[in-house]
Amino acid sequence: MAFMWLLARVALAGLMCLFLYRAARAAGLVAERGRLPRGRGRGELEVEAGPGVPSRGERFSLGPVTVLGRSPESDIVILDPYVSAKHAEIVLADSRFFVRDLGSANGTYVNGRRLSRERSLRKGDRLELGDTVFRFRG
Amino acid sequence: MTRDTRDAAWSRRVPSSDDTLLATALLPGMLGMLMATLASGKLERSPGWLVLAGFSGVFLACHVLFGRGRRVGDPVIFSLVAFLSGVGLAEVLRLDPGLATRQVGHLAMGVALTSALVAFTPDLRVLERYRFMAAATSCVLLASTIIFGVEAGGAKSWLDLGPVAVQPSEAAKVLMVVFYAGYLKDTRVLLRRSSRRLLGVLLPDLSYAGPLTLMWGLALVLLVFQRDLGAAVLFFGAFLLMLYVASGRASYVLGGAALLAAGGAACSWLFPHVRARFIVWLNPWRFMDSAGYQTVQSMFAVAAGGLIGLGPGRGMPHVIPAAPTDFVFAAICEEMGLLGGFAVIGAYALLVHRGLFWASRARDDFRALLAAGMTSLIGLQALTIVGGVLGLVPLTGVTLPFVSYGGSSMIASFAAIGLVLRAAREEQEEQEQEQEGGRVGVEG
Repeated sequence: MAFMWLLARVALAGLMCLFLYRAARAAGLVAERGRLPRGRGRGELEVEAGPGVPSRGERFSLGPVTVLGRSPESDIVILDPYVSAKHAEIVLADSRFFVRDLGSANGTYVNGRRLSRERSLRKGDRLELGDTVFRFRG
Repeated sequence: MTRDTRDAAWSRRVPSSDDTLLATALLPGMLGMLMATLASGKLERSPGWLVLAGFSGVFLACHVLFGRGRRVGDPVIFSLVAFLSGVGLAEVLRLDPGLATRQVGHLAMGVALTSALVAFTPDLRVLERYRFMAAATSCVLLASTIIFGVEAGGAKSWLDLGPVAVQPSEAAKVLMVVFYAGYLKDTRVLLRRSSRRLLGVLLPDLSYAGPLTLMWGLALVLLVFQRDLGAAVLFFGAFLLMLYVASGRASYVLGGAALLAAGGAACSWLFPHVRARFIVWLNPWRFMDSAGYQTVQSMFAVAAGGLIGLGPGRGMPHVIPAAPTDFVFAAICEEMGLLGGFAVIGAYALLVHRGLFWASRARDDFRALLAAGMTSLIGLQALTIVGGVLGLVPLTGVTLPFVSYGGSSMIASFAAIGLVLRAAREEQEEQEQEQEGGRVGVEG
């Protein structure tokens, strides 16, 4: 009987931890099938210069899909007359962030070069939309 | 990037219906209730069976009603709440079977409220229109306890309504977060703009510091007239966290925390019962026979539990005063061990993570702030009481959300999580609409 109780105690504590593990996995916090956890897939944009909103020094962490633009529907709203309503988007795929222009009027520049198709962002890259300049932090 | 990559990135983070996750969530609670019933020695006509059936019935019914969890907003949040409720109910059952049968009723009401909020709220923006009414109701509720309140445990926060006693400050908390979300949505652009710097720290314009001071004043009024330190910390703390979410400025939070510390220091100087909490926190062992008895007993209980605990029914959590309510975490540690305690803390951490995830996804500011606010409220409350029970922070009498015994607190927590789930569901519905056929006019 005492042994059965010991088993029950172990089962209770174990089941509680098992649930926590499964919930964390369902929330996408645990690696599945040997893939690297998305620790590397963390990215941040820091504002280096801009005409007002967002203001200098502000940081935005990037989600799976981040749309930048003047429209209030954007994930990062930029109040800059040279920025289009939906200007560019940054997408997370395979632990890397890719940026692409969404057909903006004035173009999107990475390290001074105008984007023609998507490219991956590397730590320290300079991202320009209109008069607003972001720095990508890996 | 193709559409497929976007969709894949999205679907990775939103788990679809998962029956086994909910089953894993219900199992620990059910096993705990079973063990408590076995340990109590009387198996026939034990209230344990009723509690066990009621608990699993309530959550399974809700799961089935929402298309096996598909339409509940976020099945992970729902399972986390089910897990916490089950573990709490098992411990309450072990401490007092009578309380546990009443707690099943509270759970049923709470789950019904959450379901109603998720299923029948027309749109959260309707709620936004009533933000001032929410603030007014909240203030009236708080004022009612100041005038008609009954004192319990040093705090005057109960209303005696004959057969039931309710704690209006629980409902007031949730309503106040609704108001904060509406208010901060209106002012967030202004709050982000500021020009002046002091010692390299961006300062807000003075005119926007007004509301901050007002909330600080409200917290102090609570503290002075109700002597409810816990509620004051939660009201002001949730406001500060939401202010940070809305403005992205740490300076507001630091300034606000300094104000709270100043207010707390003044109060501990003025009120002996607040001062006692601080002194006991510094060294509970000096007062283990008097004011520190509760804290010391709770630390003994946590230590007695060891790694896997003694099992529900085999410990001595009865000796801790207020074990089913504020000190339920110590009882859980004693009977379910360090691992069980970690699982409970981890469940709150995940709950906060999921809530903030939905807040960060939300395209509507009010929805984002509401989700962030409700999440902060629950997370902050859990931190305050777990820290208090372990002696890490001064003890303030608040309940452990979803776990502690208490009708008002249970129903308020379910209302808060119902709004988070509603925000998640609206976000998903908009996402689906977009995928079906371009952007539909969702931004009104």
